[in-house]
Amino acid sequence: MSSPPPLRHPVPTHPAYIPEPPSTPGSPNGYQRFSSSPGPTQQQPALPQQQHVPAYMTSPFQHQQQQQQPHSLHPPHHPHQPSFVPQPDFAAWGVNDATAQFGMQLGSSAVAAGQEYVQKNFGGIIPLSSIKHHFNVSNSYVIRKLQLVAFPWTHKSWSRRVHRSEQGQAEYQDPREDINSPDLYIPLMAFVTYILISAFHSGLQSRFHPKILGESASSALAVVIVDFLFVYVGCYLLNVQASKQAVDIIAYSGYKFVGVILTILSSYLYLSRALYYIIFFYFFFANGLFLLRSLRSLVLPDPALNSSTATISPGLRRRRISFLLIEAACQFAYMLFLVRV
Amino acid sequence: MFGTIIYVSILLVNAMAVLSEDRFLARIGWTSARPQSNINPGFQAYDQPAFNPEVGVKTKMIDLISAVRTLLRIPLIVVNIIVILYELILGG
Repeated sequence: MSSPPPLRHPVPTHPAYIPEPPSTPGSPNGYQRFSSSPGPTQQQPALPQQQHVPAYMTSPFQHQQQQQQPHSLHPPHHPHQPSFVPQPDFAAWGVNDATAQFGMQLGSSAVAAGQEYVQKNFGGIIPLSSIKHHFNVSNSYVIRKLQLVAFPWTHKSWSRRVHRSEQGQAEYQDPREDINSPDLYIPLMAFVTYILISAFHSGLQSRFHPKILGESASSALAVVIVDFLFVYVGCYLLNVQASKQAVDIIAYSGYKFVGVILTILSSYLYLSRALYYIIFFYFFFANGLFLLRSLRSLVLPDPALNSSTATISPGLRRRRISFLLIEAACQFAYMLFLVRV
Repeated sequence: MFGTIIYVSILLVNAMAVLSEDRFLARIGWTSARPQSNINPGFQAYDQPAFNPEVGVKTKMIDLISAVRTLLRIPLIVVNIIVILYELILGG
């Protein structure tokens, strides 16, 4: 492989500076002179030619280049082949060549500006990199996390793992590597499953209507929003810096659907009423303990990791712990509301 | 149901914004005016550390209420007018 291609993304360049590819049959691609010496180009494998696409030609004519690619793969065997010209024939369309190039440049730069605008304006509202982090799960993580949510009693270490990024900042490990890291995959899937199961439940009682899907989705979303707002306002009032961890809070508030789904499923076993309530209380306590231990790392951060909250007074600490207890107790109301499908 | 969430949040924000500063909040001592303990108040804003974990819950609530009152007053007028018109035309 020769050096990496100098231009991959659409960079606005003036069309007057773009040289025309020479039509000599010796050099199959006139653009190779930018990255390598023009002499021995005939002997090189033609693979890097694929990357020497001019910047203004990237997207709209990708298909055409790939069609031409098999012809240019073996230039030494066909020395009299016409040179690899990635440009379409603008003259066939009755458009001046320079005008067409300028128009394509304008279009590609407009698309790039639009992408940048979206990235700049919506990236602030929706933390895209954080969401990518939360969906980085593996099969074994999902299974172990479900076991943890359903049976959190024997889990010992609840602290999240931290690794250093290339920039030297401490950041949390992805859920793929860390069982204690919150993810968004399980809450999202449990949310959708809850909606479907509530519709299924109403279908078993032969009172299904399509609006039940919307109603259960709205009530589940309302529970998530209320739970999130409670934790977020509580963190604000107790001076926990949680603005960067809003996605974490949403993820933690979504794990209760796992217990709710299992409780609803257990009602199909035709157990007695008392046993059903025992199962419900079991999942309530499991979810409460899970939240208590998981949110502890958020509300009472480890002073070794975060120097800004190194010193908190015992009174504030006691208040934060009681806030955690209230939040865990609130799960009772949320889950009781959710299991009544 | 989702409309109910929006109504509840609008009503809650309205309830925070409608609190009168000098008739109600000052009477129960919830004004946002900080006690000026420092002798030189001009430096106080710059001397305070950026993050003080020992600020009480009450202070934060006062800050929250005053922030809502200041920041959301004009958007609330617009939103309330829209909701009133919607309810007049299409409300059951």
